[in-house]
This record gives sequence, structure tokens and C-alpha cells, in this order.
Amino acid sequence: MSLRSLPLRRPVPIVALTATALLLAACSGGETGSGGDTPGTGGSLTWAIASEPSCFAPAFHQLVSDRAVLRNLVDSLVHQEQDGSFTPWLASGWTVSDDGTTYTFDLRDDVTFSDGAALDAAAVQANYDYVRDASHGSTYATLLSSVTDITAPDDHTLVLQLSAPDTSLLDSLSSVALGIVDPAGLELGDGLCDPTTGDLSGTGPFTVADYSRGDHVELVRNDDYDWAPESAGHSGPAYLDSVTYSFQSDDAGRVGALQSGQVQVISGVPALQVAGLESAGLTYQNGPRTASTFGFVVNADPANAPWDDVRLRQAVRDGFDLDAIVQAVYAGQVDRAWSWVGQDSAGYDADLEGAWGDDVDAANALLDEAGWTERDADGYRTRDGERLSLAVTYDADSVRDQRDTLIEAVQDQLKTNLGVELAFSTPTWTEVSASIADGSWSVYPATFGKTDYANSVLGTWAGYFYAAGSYQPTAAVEAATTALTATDHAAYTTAIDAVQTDLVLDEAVFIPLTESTFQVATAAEVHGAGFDPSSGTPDSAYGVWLGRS
Amino acid sequence: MTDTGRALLRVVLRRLAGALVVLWAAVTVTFVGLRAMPGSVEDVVLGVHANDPGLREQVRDALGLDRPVLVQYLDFLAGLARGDLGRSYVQRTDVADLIGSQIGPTVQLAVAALLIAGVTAWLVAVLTVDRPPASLRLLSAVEMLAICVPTFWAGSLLLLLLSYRWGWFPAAGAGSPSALVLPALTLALPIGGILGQFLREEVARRQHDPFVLSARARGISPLRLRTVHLVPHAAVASLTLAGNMLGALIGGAVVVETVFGRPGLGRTALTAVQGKDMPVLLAVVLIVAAAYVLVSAVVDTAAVLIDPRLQEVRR
Repeated sequence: MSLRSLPLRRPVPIVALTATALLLAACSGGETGSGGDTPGTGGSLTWAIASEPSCFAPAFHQLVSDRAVLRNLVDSLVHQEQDGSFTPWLASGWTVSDDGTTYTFDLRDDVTFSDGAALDAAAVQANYDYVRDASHGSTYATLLSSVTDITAPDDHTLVLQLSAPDTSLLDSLSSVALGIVDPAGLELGDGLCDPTTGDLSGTGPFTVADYSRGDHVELVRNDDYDWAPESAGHSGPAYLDSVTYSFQSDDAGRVGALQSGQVQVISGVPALQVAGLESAGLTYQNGPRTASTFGFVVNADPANAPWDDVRLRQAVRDGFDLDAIVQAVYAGQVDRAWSWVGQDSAGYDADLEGAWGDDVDAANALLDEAGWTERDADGYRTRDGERLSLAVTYDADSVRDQRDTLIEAVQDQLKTNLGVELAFSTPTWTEVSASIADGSWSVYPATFGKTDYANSVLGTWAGYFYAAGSYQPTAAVEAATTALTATDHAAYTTAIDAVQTDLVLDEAVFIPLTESTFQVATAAEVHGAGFDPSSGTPDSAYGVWLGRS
Repeated sequence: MTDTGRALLRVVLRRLAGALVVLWAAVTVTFVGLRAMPGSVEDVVLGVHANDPGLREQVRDALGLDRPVLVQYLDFLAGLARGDLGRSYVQRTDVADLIGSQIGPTVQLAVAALLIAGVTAWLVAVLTVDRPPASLRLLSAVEMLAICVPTFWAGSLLLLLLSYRWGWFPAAGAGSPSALVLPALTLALPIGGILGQFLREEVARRQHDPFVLSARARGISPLRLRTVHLVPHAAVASLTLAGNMLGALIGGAVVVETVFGRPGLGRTALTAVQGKDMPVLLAVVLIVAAAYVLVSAVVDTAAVLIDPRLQEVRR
């Protein structure tokens, strides 16, 4: 999963729309389906999304947001529910051995790929074996790193043998990244990325009908589909005849297209435009706060001195009033974050609420104690003539949702409250990634997306941000390892709590800023749009139907 | 072969060699420039997986990045000679396919914008030759405005009014002719401005040339004089602007395609720069350089055909 999310942002004036546009929005739209207020079959709609999937093959897609499109094409072995539990999907059930290292899945026997081939255990095995073989170059190989052996004793039984218990396994199996495709296509490797070849064949509720690179992809209903997860709320094929995802990178442009009735659904809604949408009779939904939050990842390595001193990091963390800043920047449409874990996640540690932040006196005391007592002509703290300055570098393409404004507000308060300089710059991702790779980075404002928290600490923190230097958030890494191999829920929860305490409170290597969510807005006649709990992104169009506006 | 034939062949060969040198220089400069940019391709391709065991080696191996830079460069040139543009690092597809799918919309956009700009500039020139100086100054100001207004701003304004507000044209896409209108208008603005100013100045300058006087002496109508004699003369002179216009078209296409969410080479190039997707960017540079070479060849030939005096000068 890439750190970067939605690329490209351009300034476009925001203008209130006239009654004409509102009327248009109310009258036009896709062809009507049932025309009533109960779900009915038929109709088609256009769904504007910010970024085009770089690849349509589950094993090679890059952005979390790609999953919203891919979810229409591929199903997973198990389904993740809003509460974080797992229910049957392509597997009708499963058992776990007492020691937590053997998973036995019973597969449904009525599932076919869109090319007509039947889904069996060998097909699932082929998919998983393909992804976990590093030589194939799937970035999702690590999702199955605990798996040592996969067998298919009969057509509808799949056995996964693990090296140690893995609490993240079901989460991984529910992901689009491990969505199942007809193994015939696997041989093509990343050639499967291009959906126009017709080789990509999943078991999902839609198939690709038309793809124009850089413009749109049109999906049509898979009429044979009859294996939706139970929580989907309906069974059989999808309601819509077809759905066209149109790629429109400009935030304000998507909102304008929705308001003028040119599209019926949009993903990605700027916070400041929400009020306008709602007053225009359009429906706005903010997704679950199950992703990891947006915040400052701070390099605590001696290479980033003096910020290897935990007192300085804690002082910065507590040196600004986050509630006031978030309210001012987002007008109440975005929530402030308390932890690295999203507030709607099962593993969220509510004890962090109120445990840090906005304590300017204590922050100043910490800085005094660390010896930064002098001030220079600009009012910044100095020690031995050196200014106390923290460099925040955010790759320009990832800056969105007024995050630059948010950071500048923090910058302003840190200067006024503490006399700490926050040097904010937005170079290219190639520069930022190079500085992270060689350990010379200082602060990276990161969103990790919906992630398995234990795996993410080991992979992203220990394995990526702190791979180059000598510093490691040791307690968090240990807790994550415990969480990953825990065999009972209580032990898992305790360990994930410890991860958050270490990253945010004790080490202050993560300074939470805002909850990170996906959003959708729909025209009045569109019903049933929601979010996919496995990725936090907008869900597939399976449950979407057109009714009365 | 006649003397003229041999001379022609020599000219063509010399031109071809010159074109090859230009293309080679363009891709070489791009290759070196991209290599000099900070950051590595592996980091970009792998994102947070940059330090996953084995993956980096796998990517380096798959993309051939483990070989010396010079070898990669020569390999790239050899591929070009075979007509092989390579494979996109980021989009994981053959560059030739990628470019093939994106060149059509850009050509449509460029041709439509040129037509709009050309016709408008011609009409304005014909209709305004003998207007009073005050109105000409106003016209000149409007043209300056068309040239100076940032393309993204003009595009956003057109979107806001003609698409979001009045719903006359779709805001995004390249699926229908109506989707071409706003992007082409936006792109036509600066080109039309340059062309319009040039045409009008040329027409004004030639008002007192001998051929105009003799035509007048024959009793030609003012409108016919302008449409048949003055503007065509000016149009030939405006060929010298072709290079400028091509530059404006290419630069403008990047912005217009982004603002209007249109597929095309401009947006492809932008994404390639952001993703350090070298094979794609090199291919785009190659196409742009080829377009310049082609345009300058066509312009030179056309100029000679239209005005034989140039041939004398060249010899």
C-alpha cells in the first residue's frame, strides 16, 4: 500500500451555485431504475473518482483508493464487517487450530469466474502462492509472510499452514489485495494490469466492459453473481446494469460535476464543500474512521538531532491547540485525531483522549529543561547559537484536503507558544522518499490508510521509516509482535494499546492530527452507496440502486 | 538523376540527419536530467515497501536498474532504434501502447484549438483592418489578455459558467465532440491572441505595399482586397510563428488536460515526471521533439513553395 494517496491538486475557485444548477441536479441523472423508494434493478450511473487505478490486477494495484474500483471485480475469501469481525464470503466457513497456526477454509461450490471457470481450492491456492512468491514482485507478498504452506486436500477445502499465530491473517485475506482472479490470468504477471485485454477474470458483481485510459472505465453487471456476503443486505446480481467510473482528479471539478448533474456519485469531497452539497439536496457520507490517522511521523534517530531527545518531541506534540486548529481549518467536517489508530477501529485506545496535547506550560518547561533557553532575534529558541527548528517535508502531490493549511496553523502556534520553528516544505515524492530511504528525513506528514496495525508497525515503522538509522520504537515493535501472534483477543487488545501508547505518549514519534477518511456524495436518486470495511474506501457498486429522488 | 533531383535528395538527407541529431539530443538531455533528479526509481515504485526484504533487488532486476547507467542508456538507444519504447515502471504497461492510447485525444485537442484560433484570428484581422485606432487599441488589449490569462484560470472559468452553471458542455472526459469544446476553447485563447496580433500588424503594415496599390487601382472592393490579398500574405508570414505556436500548444495541453480531466500526452507526461517514470517521459519528449522537427521541415518547405524568392536566397 502506498503512502501516497490522491495525486494532483489544482486551485479552482469555489462558487455558490444558482437555482438553475440545483434544478439541473434534481432533474437529471442516470437512467432511472425502479423509480420507487425500494431497491429495484436497472439503470446506470457515472461515478467520478479522483485517481485512475494504476493497475487493475489485485496483486499489483498501488493506491488504497484503487480498491474502490477493484472491489467490483474481485471477491475475497472472507468478508470484513464494520465492527472488524470476519464473516463468510468465498469461504462458507473456516476453523482455526488451537495453536492458531492452521486455518482450514471450506469454499463455496457455486462460484464461477466471469470467464465461466469454476472457483475451487486450487484456484485460491494458485492466487495466494503467486502473491507470496517474492520473485513475482507483488508488493503484497508480506500480507502472507506468516504462511509457510498452502494445500488443497479437495476441491473445496483450503488449508493455510502458518509459522506462528497471525492475528492479521483474516484481515489480509479480506483485502482487495488478496482478491481472487482466475489463475489462468496469473501467468501474465503485471500484464493483467490492463483490463482491456479481457484476461482479468474475477468473481465480482461487475466485469469490465470498456476502458479508456485517462478517461473512464465502464463496468457491467455480472448476471451470474450470487455469492455476496450476508451483510451486503441483498443477494443475487447487483442492481445497476452498469457503472462508469470517470477519472476526474480535480476536487472542485468533481463537486461541480455532481452539482450540475453530470455525474451521480463522487468520491473524495473537500471538507469545505460539504455544507454547499448538503444545502443543494445531495447526500454526503463520511466514511468510517477505521484507517490509521493523519499526523507527523517524527524521525527520532540521532541523524535528526536534536530531535532524538524525546523531551523536544513531546514539547512539540503538546505545544498547540489541535481542537481549535482543526475546527478552524475544517469547519467541523473533519475530526481531530487522538491516536495513530482511527477512532472507529476495534483496536483504538480511548485512554489516549486527553492524555496529551495543548499543554503549553509543560511544553515550555520541557524545552527549558533540555537547554533551549536562549532566544534569537526572531523570537525562536536557541541553544549554543543554534535555532530550534523542525523540518516538515510533505511531497507536493500528496498535499490535499487543506493539510498544508493545517500544518501552517500548527507552525504558527509552535512559533507563538514555544518559540519552535517548523520549517515546512513540499518537494517531490522522489526527494522525500530518498531522504526516508537514507535516514536523513525529519518529519513526514503521513496517512497510512486502512492497515493492519501490528503489521504496519513492523513493516512501515520499523521496516521503512526507521530502517536506515539506529533508532527503533522498541516498545511499539515488541508490542506489535505480541499483537501479531496473540491467540486470544484480550492479549491482542492490550498489545495494540501498548503500540499506541508508545508511539504517541512515550516516544512521541507520531503526533496525531486528523482522522483520515474517504467520503462519497450522491445525487438524490442514488441509494445504497457505502464503504468497504476492509479498506475504508467507498464500497463497490453492488448495493447501489436508483430510486426516487 | 537530374541535377535538381540530386540537389533535392541532398537537402532531404541533410534534413534527416539533422532531425536525428535533434531527437538524440532531446532524449539524451532528458535521460541525464531524470537521472540527476534526487530519489530513486525503486523508492517510487515500492513506496512503503522500499525496505521489504528482497523486493528492492527484485525491482532493480526487473527494471534493469542494477546495470551501469551507461549500459542502461545505450540499451535504451538500442531499443529506440528497434522501435521499442520500453515498459512503464509505474503503469506496468508497454510505453508504445500507453502513448498510442493517449496521442489521439491530444492531437484532436491541438487541431481543434488551432482551427478555432486560426479562424478567429483571420476573421478579426479581415474585419478590423480599417477601424479607428481607439478600437484597435482595445482589440490589442483583449488579445494581450487572451495571451496572458493563465490557462488553468481561463479553463476553470469556462467550466464554472458553461458546464457547472449552464450545463452546455460536459466538464470532463474525451468521449464526445461536445467534451472537446471547452478544452479546445481554453487552449485556443493564447494561440489566438498571438496569431491575431501578428495577423493584424502584418495586414496594417502591407496596406501601402505596391501590390495593394495596384489592386486598388484595378478597383477591387475593400473586403476582397483584405480576404484575397492582404490576409493570405500575412498568413504566410505567420508561418514563422509555427514554432512558438507548437510550444504554446504543448505547454497548454499539459494544463488543459489536467484541468478538464482529459486523457492525453500532456497529462501522461505530468504523471510520468511525478512518478519518475523514465520510459514514458522519454517517449513523450521524443514525440514532442519529432513534432518540432516535422513542423519546421513543413514550414520551410511550404515557405519555399509559396515564395520562390527564398530558394534563391538559400543557394
